[in-house]
Amino acid sequence: MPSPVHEFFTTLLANEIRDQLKQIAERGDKAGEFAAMIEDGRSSRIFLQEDISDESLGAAHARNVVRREPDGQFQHRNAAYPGVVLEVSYSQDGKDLKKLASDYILRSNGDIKAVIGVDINYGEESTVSLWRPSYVEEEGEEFEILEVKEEVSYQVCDILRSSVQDLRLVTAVSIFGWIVACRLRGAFGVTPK
Amino acid sequence: MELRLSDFATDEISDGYEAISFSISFQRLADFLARAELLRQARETESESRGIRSRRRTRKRKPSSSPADELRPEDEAKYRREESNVAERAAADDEDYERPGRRRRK
Repeated sequence: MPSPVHEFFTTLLANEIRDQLKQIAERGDKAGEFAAMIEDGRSSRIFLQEDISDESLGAAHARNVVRREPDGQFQHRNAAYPGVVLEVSYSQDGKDLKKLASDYILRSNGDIKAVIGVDINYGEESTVSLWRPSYVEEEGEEFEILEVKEEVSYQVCDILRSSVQDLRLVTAVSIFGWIVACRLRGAFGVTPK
Repeated sequence: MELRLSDFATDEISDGYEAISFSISFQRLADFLARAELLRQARETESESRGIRSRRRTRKRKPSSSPADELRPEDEAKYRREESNVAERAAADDEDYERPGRRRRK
């Protein structure tokens, strides 16, 4: 059962992406036309059915169709897969974000190009990660090797442990105010891993 | 966190859009998280952060149990009669007539 924090957060993030795409779409040029054809697919199911030819998994596993329902996704009308997927994990709901990101990217043969993973933890640091496909050429290999690369992993200030006053402050004041609020509590928020 | 426009579709159709990008700051993400938490508190706590609720005092009445698929033929006939009576009276006395279901207790 989705929690309010999970759902509100996911919606706010998806809306932000949609707004940014809308701004690009308003340019009216080729890129604008491209952006205008990207739709918000929300939690709809995705059948990941590309071959993952990893010897360690064996032939039986290679062609399994995997069904996933992410927390958010954006798909161009002419593409078979969404390009960007959101996964939000809240309070240790058991989601393995790294494993999910790997599934999305490898099983779409790299067509899912960005998996945004947000791990929200009550009383601890929350983490934001972005995984992307990475292509490696190796000597003696006929094909490029598709890997998953974690591009960013940031810890966001532990907002959920804040007092109500802190939370009100966060929404009431500027970004600068937010940083100050975090500093005051001795937990400066945005720290690259 | 930066997303490129080309991230949104497979290479074949997104080629050339790598240079167009937008970013979402971590501060903004933290702000979303705070807003989500405030909304949770507004609906799930009893403290001062509880959201505003209606103070109207009401007595609740459940909806009458006559969904269309449970109507018996004799009921249908009855409702048809009532409907046509209502239509006639409404036509005859447009201004003063109040439909029974809409009447509110004063």
